[in-house]
Amino acid sequence: MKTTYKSIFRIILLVCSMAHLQSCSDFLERQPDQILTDDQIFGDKVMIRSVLANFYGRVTWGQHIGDWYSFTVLDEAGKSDQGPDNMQNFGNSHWRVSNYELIRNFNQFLKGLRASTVLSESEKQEYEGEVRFLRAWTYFNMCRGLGGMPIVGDEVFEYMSGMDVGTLQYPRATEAEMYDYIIAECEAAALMLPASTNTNAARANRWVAVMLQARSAIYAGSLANYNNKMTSPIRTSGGEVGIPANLASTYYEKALKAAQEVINTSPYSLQMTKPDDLERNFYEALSVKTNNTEVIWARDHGYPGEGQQVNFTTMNIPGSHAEDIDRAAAGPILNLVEDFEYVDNRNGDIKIRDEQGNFVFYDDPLDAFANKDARLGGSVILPNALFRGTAVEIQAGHKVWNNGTWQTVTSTPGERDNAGRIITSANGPNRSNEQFINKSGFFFRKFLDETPGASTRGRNSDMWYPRFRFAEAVLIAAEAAMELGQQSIALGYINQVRDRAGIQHLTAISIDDIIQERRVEFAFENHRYWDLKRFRRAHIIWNGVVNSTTAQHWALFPYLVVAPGTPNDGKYVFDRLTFSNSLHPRFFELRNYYNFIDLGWQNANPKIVLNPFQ
Amino acid sequence: MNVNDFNLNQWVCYKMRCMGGSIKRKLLPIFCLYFLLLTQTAHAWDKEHAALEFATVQRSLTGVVTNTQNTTLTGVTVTEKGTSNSVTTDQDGAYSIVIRNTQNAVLVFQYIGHHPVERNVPANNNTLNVALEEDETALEEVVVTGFGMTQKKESLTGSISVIGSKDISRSLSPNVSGALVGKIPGLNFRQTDGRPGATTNIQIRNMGSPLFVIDGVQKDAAQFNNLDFNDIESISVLKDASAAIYGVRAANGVIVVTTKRGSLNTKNTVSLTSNFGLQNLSTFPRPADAVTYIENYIQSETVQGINNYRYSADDLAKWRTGTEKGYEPFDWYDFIWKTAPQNYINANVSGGSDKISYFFSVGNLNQKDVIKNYGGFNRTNVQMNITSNISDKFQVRATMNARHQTKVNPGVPGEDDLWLPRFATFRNLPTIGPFANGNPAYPTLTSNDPGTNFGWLTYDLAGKFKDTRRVIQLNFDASYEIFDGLKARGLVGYSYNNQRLENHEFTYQLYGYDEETDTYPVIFQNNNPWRERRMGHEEEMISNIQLQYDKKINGHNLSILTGMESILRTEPTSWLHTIPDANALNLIYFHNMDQYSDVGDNPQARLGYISKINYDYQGKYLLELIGRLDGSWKFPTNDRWGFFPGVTAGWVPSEENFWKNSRVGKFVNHFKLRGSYGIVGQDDTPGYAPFDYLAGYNYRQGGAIIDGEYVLGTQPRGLPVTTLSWLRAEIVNIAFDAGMLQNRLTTSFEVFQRHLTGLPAARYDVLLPMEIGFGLPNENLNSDKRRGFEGVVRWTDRINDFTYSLGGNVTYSRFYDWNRYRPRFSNSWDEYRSSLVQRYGYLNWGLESAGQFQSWDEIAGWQVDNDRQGNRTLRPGDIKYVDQNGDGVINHLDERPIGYRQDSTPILNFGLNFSFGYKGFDLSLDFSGGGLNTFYKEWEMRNPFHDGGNNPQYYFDNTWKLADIWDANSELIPGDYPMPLIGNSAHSNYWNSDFWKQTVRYIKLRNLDFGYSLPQRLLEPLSMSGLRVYFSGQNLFTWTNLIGIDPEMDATNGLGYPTFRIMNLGVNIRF
Repeated sequence: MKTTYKSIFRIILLVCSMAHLQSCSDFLERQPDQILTDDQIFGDKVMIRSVLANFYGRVTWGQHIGDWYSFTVLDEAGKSDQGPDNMQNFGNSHWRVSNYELIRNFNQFLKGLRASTVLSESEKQEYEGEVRFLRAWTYFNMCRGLGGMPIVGDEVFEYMSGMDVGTLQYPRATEAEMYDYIIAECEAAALMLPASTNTNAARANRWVAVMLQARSAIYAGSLANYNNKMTSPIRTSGGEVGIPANLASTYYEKALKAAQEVINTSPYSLQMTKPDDLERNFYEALSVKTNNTEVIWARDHGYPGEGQQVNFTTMNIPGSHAEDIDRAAAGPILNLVEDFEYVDNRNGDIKIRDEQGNFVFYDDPLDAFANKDARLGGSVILPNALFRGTAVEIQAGHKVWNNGTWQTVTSTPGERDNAGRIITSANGPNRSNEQFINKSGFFFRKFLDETPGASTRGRNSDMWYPRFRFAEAVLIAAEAAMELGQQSIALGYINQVRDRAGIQHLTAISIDDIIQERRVEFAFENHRYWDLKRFRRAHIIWNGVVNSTTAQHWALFPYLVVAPGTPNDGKYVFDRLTFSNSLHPRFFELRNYYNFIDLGWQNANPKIVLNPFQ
Repeated sequence: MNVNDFNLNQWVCYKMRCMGGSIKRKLLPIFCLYFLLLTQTAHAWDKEHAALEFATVQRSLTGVVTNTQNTTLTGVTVTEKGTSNSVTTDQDGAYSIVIRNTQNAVLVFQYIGHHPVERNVPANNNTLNVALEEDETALEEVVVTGFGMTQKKESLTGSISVIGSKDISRSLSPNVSGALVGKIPGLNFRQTDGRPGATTNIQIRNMGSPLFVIDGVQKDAAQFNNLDFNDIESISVLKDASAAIYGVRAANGVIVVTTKRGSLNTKNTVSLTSNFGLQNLSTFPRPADAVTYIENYIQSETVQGINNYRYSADDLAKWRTGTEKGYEPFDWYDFIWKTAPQNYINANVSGGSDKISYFFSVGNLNQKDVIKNYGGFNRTNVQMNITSNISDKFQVRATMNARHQTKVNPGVPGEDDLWLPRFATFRNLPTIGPFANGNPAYPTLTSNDPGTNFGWLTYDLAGKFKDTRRVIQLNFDASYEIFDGLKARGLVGYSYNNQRLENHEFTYQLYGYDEETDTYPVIFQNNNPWRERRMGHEEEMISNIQLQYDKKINGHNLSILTGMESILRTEPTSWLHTIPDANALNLIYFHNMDQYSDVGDNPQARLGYISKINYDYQGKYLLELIGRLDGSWKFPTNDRWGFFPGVTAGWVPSEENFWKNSRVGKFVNHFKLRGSYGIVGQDDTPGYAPFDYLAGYNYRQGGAIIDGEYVLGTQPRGLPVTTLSWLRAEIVNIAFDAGMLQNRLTTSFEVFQRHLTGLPAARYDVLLPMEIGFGLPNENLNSDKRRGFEGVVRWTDRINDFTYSLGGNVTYSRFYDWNRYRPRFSNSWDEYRSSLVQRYGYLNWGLESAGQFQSWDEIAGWQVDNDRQGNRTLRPGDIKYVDQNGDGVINHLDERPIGYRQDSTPILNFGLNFSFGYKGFDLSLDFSGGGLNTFYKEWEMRNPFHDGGNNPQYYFDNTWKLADIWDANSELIPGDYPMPLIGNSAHSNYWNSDFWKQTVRYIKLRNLDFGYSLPQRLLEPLSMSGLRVYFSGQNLFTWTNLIGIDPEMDATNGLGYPTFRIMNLGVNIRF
């Protein structure tokens, strides 16, 4: 029996100690690896800057080089990658921005920042100006897609179960109020921000805020102006969409003033470092960061740095220059190329046939683009143009003179004929569904990185993406002055830009000249879509008509002439063809002038009214 | 203290610290138990010595133990009643025991599957022979029900299936999941990938990924799959409320593995197994040959009115001849795929003395890839199990399981190194070979995608990928019988699983050929060297303490168990990337490193308290109650613990007299009804990450280059989630088991339902305006259901020397979306299309095809706009669609459910298991099959000349054709598929429809095993106890309605890595 008692004692001991472990429930209390408290953030300068870096990484929308496909949805480039592009019309939420989570994060940050004790007052001022600018920028991106949206100020909302959600419901601001708010915030931010430049224009300074002021004002002005010139203007009764016509001149004046402030007092200029080579000069003004005086604000990219490179170069480099598997995902289309003027001729069409309808023969395919606006060569790689010092061969095939007719001969890319002449070059173009081969006849030049290794998957490119640059200030000033009836001032500005492109001066200026100039100056820079919207031209240019010169995508195919014994043998001719990989012409409908309001937003907040056509 | 720094000492310290109080009170239960065990050992030692001192008069007794057929029995335990004095019989059934109590001594004879027998020691005779009677009622198995607890199958009431070592090891699968396929009811399976070392997806009743428990320790699927299955004693599959003993991770069922151990008092046995096999592809679509490809290309250009043909009539003639230089077809399939060896060797030793038993095993599996030049999978396993009976009451066991495994292949660009070879089979045209001028030193560009030339995917040109895992699991457990019926058990386990992944992808060049100069100019240069290394480990510390009490009184049997379990796991891992300066530089230095990411520890902690009560009365009325209180670190402090109860009950009417006396009773000798109900948990709540209950900021999220330098981002977290917790599954199971004709025919049948509640959803009727910047947090609101049945039938008998067994099992488990939080629909069509309320889940929608247009006239007269372009794109052979809503146009409104789930295990699985034996010969066949899942043919299997590549031969052979490929107006020859036209992949023919999306049915001869065991008389002179030679084959035949593709694949391009067909010769020797 003694043993039994002993054993029972032991069991009790065991059970007790087991029960004891229950009190040890903080065994389940673990520390996460990557979560920091508010105090850890606002008690440390380094962490405050880290949050700011997060914000800078989140404010890119619309067309940008992180998304090469975005260049193909308008009339600038076409997709060559794999099968055809089925895009038939623009979606109701195309490039829509509605990031109130980000707005909340800005406001959380402002709240924490104002209470922080580790920063000096002047440091706080700069941070506050920067974040308020970024917030205005976010509203701006929201507004140009959706029109007026709720403005929540500095509010950081909280929610407790059971609270009255009615107090959280904000109505939409009017479109005009929205632009006014953005302009006012930029004015305030400009006072807090330093006037000096910073590395690679990656951070907002005073001039960035002034530029957004100018851009917002010119947008608001042109909306007030051109929307009301439509047969039936697009507006809502509450003005959430649609700005009264009488506000136009005020906005134009604000725009002119802000743009002139940048032109006259900022440290930036129309970059002119290579007057002997205007193509190269233009390329460098946009695509080379070192000693750049043109760019005011850009999304900077860098190597190394996790997620801080872009694969635009990797994806779009010509096959002949590729360093990795990817290449030729998209290429500029003829529509854009022909919109660049000749030095002395405003009609930029490429001369491929003479008046009798016969081919025009060129000794070198590049000759077809002689005397063009220098910006063309700075934005587009033309057939046989140089990239990284070697020519980019672009040849669709042979034109063979055969019994009095021209016969087109194509081949698998890179194949040669019996005489050793390349038939279809390895770069293309062709009209197949093959991957990794060009289909438009042109490659991107603007933003294509020349750095070795920049087109490899393992490295990618550190090319930046400019958001504001000096030429925009000049063209905003030109537009505003023109709209305010100050022709000579307007001409003075626009001819500055044309001078840099090496093309003739204008002697009179109209809205069409502004549209044309912005089209070629700002190709691939996220302006075209928004410009055609604010001028209410998008539905006219992208009219959805098959084989229309503006809505259909067009390609230009160079051919080597094979006509032995004739003088034309070995010369080059061109065919103008529809771009085979975009099946449908671009079709912008009136409903696309404003993104649709998500019905869920209205369900959650009945004060949100819908947009027109919805 | 930072508890994330995983380190054994700290862990122990931490556990001690958290006990609080003085030193004495700080005793950990586990230490407490060890302490107990140690003192008890000493105590037992004393007692034994004392006994020896007093036993001055001894007598010795010998005898032979047989069964009723007079066959001697080896390993029978002979115990002197009331003492620890015990021996076992030898090979001849003989025993010899020294009796301690000279007066009134009683000997107890015990042997598995036989009734125990007690005999008085005869007063005047030193010989005692005994015949043991077989216990007919004992269905042979003892079932592991979890936590090292076992139960006889006859008293089992939960839904637990068991498979023993013999059935497991019959398979040739390189991993354990493959060895279970088709052999257990209630298991759904699908092997979507067959690469070396690949596993089969298995789910218990389609409930999701199960929890794996190996020798009492919760582990992951990788650990389970990579056991050497010759080391496995048994696998139990817990399918219903019986899984509740595993609490918050058991909602998808539990697979419990027990490894082999030696038995006490058995002689030393050495077993050697070795086999060698050849593997090749079971099914993989063959690309079209050159002539077929060119003919179809020409035909397409003819139809599309392209007058500058890529291939002229002259060219075609040359390709047909195929001998002229530049016109030699190339077979990429033969170039890439080959037959490769697989071999396996295992040696194990087991045995035991009267105190210690052991099982040591070492095995190696080497599986080569069937892609030429590629490496494969190599795994070495070591298992060491030792059991030591320190005294009658005190047993200590040590278990070590270790493995070393590598996967090797060339360093190939892209995420999946085994993708390019598969892709290359189709992307490269049969008109071009891999080498410039046919010279193997110069790989050339074979398509626009330089990666696809398989010719350079070699170690020399492409570099090398190597993934190595080194894993060790150590368990120590001890059990102590405190007094008769009360037992304490404790287990501590430690595991370390290290990964080292090295990958170096070289820069490479592709060459052209210049005939004039006979030189090979470089035409493509890849300048993207990629060097990466992943280093990390998973470290786990577990403890498990139990107390069990058993009592039998007058037919009432009671067993109570209580215990606790804790698991602590960390997974520190880091990854780095460099761009090396040269291919020869394999070492990594900082100066060319551009990324280093530290994934962190990802600490995980779980704690559970378990209890279980079993009661039965005379084996007729059975009841089991299970409960587990379980906590998970993922959830907030005040919402961390959940209680998971289960109850199972059974009634065995065949034990009742009325049954035994009835006519049915003569036929049905065993019949049991059983049912269970329980709630089990799942802490992997979708959309909830650990620590989501915390506010604050996330470090290392986004970032930007500002001021010219990269600044790592920090982002505010969303609202803390305090409204979400684990999922709860209610499982109901009702079943019967029957044995007929003296158990020659056995069957069981079960129906089940699992209602999984707590799936996250937001209470959207609380409408939060979008401008506040956050959405309403999710709550546990939605639910889903699985319902189904499973059954198994087996007939086992013998006719003289011929033994045979025929069995089959079937599992059907259907998924339903069930409760949704107040569903809303804008109209009835919206409800039809999008409702998820109490409806079959994963419905696969698409257009319904109605055959093909047969003539131009038919198209001209067709009233429905079949292609949304006024039917102007249609040709004979194109697909007709059913206009479901009769609006005259085919669009998404005409879609209806046309298929089942594509990406998971099938709804229906079955297996057929046959085995036959005659004298030394044995033959067994395992068939496995499935149905009610959907395969969708897309890309290479559907789109004509996909992205400039090739299509399968079977496809081109069966398309609509022109009688004269040069004449668009020539007669049309009908086929099963529309005519393939270049660049036409957006055509209405290739819309999502049941023409391409088909319901799959299949049955495979998964294993065939034919062996011969040499008779004893031949082996004895060689001092062997057994020798078996065998042939075994895997995936020898497949019958399916899916053309060209392995029916278990799910890659819609048909290029999933196919399963292997393996033919193996092997030998097993025991001595």
